[in-house]
Amino acid sequence: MKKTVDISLPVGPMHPCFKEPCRIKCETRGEYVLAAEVELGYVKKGIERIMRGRPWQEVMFLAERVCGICSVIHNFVFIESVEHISGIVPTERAAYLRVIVNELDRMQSHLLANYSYCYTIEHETLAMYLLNLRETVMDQLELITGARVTCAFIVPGGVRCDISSDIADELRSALDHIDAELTRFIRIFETGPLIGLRSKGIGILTKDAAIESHAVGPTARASGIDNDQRSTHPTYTALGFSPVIRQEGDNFARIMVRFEEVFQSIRLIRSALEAMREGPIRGGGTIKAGSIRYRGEAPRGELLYELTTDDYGRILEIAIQTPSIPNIQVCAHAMLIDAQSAADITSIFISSDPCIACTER
Amino acid sequence: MNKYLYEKDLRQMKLIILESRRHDAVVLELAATLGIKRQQLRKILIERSDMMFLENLPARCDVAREAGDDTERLLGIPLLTQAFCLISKEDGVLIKEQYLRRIQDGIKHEAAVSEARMEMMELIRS
Repeated sequence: MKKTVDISLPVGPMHPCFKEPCRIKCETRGEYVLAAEVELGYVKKGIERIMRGRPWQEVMFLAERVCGICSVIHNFVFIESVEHISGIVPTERAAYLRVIVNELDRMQSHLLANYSYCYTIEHETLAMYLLNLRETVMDQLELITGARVTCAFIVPGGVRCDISSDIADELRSALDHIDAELTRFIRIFETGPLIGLRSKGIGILTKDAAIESHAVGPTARASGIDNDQRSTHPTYTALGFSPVIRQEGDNFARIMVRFEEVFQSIRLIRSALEAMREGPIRGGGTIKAGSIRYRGEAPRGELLYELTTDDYGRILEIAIQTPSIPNIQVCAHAMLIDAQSAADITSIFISSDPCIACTER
Repeated sequence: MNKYLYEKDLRQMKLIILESRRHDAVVLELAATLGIKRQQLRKILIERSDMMFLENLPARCDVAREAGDDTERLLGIPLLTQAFCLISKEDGVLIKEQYLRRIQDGIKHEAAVSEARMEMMELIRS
């Protein structure tokens, strides 16, 4: 007779599939997952506490150190928050340059997330192809900003440096290369029968559960939710942005949304390069006192900064809500429940692109 | 006796999460709705919820504040059932129906709200 054992199955804090330490405690009946709980506290930074009372010039650098993968968007949202408080408007060229760098950052983050997923389901070949392609994006990011991560590219009223026509040409040819290579890789992902077995119909997130937990980013958009902060951003609307949405809500849909968003980013960068005219890259202005609740679209979803400044440009209060917080919560309490196999725990978790550094800011 | 390497007492870390500015605001909001002290609500949440759920409370509350009708919002039912998950949705519907019945029976608004709160607290403690 088949014996079924009820066990508590811990995954992590150190696990070969996890980029960062985090512990998932799963209650299982045999291989069937009944409940899951996430434990944090292994990499807590306390960065909000460090930011409090410091001038914006220091907080700007701290903000992009919240996350090592999507550092540009933290810089982007923090600077736009203080700009909104102070009534500073970036120059037109700077606004387009911000979009270019932000979209390059999104591309590398999505490629890294999909690499992690392919690695988790043991498709190492595709994983390495994607990681290699990410390097092309990282090179472009370094070429434009001078750094791979923590670029500190965006400053109030503009950006730190301009791009020459040579750099723009190199960026265009790199985008052509990424476009061609990724089309090939997506075909491997879409048609791979084993990939389909590990991804289609696994870790389903219903639209209702996603709304209730305030799921954001590709995790929510793969469940049919039309939620993308770029839809209301003036520069993105000028470039004709529309969000990528799928309805399936499974691992496959989440990965495909990220792949499609990489193509979308390529289109946005090309449009920005076309639309960009010669002009100054920095405006003027001083930071004033005020409070704001400002949202931006990080690669993983909606990033919220709630901050208060004083007349000297000091940050009196700050709270950061990163997209991984709702996404990991919905993953543990909705996507992992009813998983048919313990082997799916890691693949479902990684498909939501969890960032522990963001969560434990 | 076995001592597990990663099994920890998480109460202190959960309290640190709840003490942050945005979390404190939502805990205060629900504690005021239920008519209890913030410390009591914190204790309940620490006992019942995992760290990730507590981290996500402000975002869940943002969604719950837009849910439900006027009566449900007055009684704080969307916050309790949807955001904090302290009572089930079915119990939330029952509490609202009982509240409306009391109002129909001519009981004063304050008394009906106070009875609804007592019922909610009973359900939370059960």
